[in-house]
Amino acid sequence: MKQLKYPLPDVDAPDFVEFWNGCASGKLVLPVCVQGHFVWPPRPKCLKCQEGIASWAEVEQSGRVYSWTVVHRSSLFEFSDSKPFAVVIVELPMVQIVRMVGLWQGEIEDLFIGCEAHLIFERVNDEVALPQWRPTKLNDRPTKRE
Amino acid sequence: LVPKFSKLVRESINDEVITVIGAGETEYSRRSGRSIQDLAIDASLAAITDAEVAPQCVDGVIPLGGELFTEDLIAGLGLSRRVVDATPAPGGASAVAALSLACGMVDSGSANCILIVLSRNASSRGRIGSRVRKLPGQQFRDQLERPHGWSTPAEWYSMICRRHMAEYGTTKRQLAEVALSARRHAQLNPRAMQYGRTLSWEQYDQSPFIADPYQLYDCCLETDGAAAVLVVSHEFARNTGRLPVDVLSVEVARPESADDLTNREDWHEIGLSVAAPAAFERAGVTPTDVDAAMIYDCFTFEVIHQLEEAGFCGRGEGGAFAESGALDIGGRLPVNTHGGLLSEGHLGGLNHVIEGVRQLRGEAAGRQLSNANLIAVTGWGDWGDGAFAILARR
Repeated sequence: MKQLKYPLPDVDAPDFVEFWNGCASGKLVLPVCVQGHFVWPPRPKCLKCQEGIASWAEVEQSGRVYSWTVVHRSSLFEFSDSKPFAVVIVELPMVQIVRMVGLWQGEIEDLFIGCEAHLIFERVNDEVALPQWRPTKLNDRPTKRE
Repeated sequence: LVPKFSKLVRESINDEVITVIGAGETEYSRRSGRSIQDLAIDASLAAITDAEVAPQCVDGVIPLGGELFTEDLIAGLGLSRRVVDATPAPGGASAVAALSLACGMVDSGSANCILIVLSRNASSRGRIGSRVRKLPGQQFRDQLERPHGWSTPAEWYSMICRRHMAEYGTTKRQLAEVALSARRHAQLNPRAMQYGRTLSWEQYDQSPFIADPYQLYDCCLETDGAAAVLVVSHEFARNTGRLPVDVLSVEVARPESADDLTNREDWHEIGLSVAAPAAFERAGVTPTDVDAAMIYDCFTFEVIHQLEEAGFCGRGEGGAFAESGALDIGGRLPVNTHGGLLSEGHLGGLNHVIEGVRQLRGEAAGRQLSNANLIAVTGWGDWGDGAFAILARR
């Protein structure tokens, strides 16, 4: 069953505006500080050097599953009628660690740590498109699941 | 000069050893039917009576749980209107962090006799789903997590657990051993909510999934009740008749990226990885000197995780350590001899401090350890805040 309702983010929240604008136009756009560090999750100052945000950079919409869970009982009413669903943490292929949380839009059976995933944007309304993850088609399934 | 100066301040503070002279609690239940103020007053009086002092001796208060205030205790116990008070950051590290605040109060001379009390109806009202909305970093939860259905501690920490299982081969059998050991201990503790209810591997294995790999019995209880300890200066303790339990050291630290657990350079490093070595150094003891540990057991894996990061075993060895029977009374490092949050009740870990005190005083009755001179207590909060105290029988 397709998830129809979501707790909605505030797309006007100051540190997140560019990110949500990017999602709405199908782009993954992340903040970069004066010294060139990705600042993820978005903060007013870089966690590493405390410099401000200098720009927003568009990055590749793919990565590998770093960890995952299957939620069987959600505390969120929007998910209360959902069947068990998976949430993943995906590590983007960058020198610096950038990991994103997202709903898994694929079979739970296909999930394993290291599995290749790519982003899809779930259009919820005119302003909000949620970045979710699905398995990359060319995935090599491991013989033994982790 | 400024960073150097603040470092010096941090290292000179808390030279004073503080001493626990009283401990008490209410019944731990699923539905108290009483207000948190009423529960707090009862637990406080039990701790004050246990210490053999008068309520008027209390000159410092640290209320815990999120909804309890110093005003409730002034009104209910007839405390001085001049009591000083402080509140640690919310979350599961707060009970042990309160010992650190008490050290600061004593060291600065602002208080000599400090009441730490936690009270809440966390089972019948205000369960975890609402409590987590008062934790730091809500902008990340609202923007990047809840829209994806990721919203509770079980769901957050199951991610850490899964990664540990993949990297180190930690198994569900090993997680189960944490739950089963806690449940065995609870059978020796009439106060435990799970007293009289044994747990088998089969029951554990067949219990419903909450957030895979966590099943029902990987998760702690929700509890109505209150717990309290009375902490005093060394000098104050000299004038009381009770067997004193010294806090040799207490340290608090946060993990890197303290409000977001997903983006850490070292996935497994937490606040405790910093706090525990600092506390051992300050106390002048090592992990092998510790006779038992009260580990903040919000979930089974967090016990294994903290045993590793506190230095009781190497990283990746915690699962095998648990499976070896080390955590049981009589084992290499008895853990949560009261049953812990998993089987005694969830009093924010203040019940762990109380169990440490009772063991060191020799008051743990049917679960008394034969050798209890040094006991470690941990707190785990939010996305890995850590607090670590070393308690000693004088």
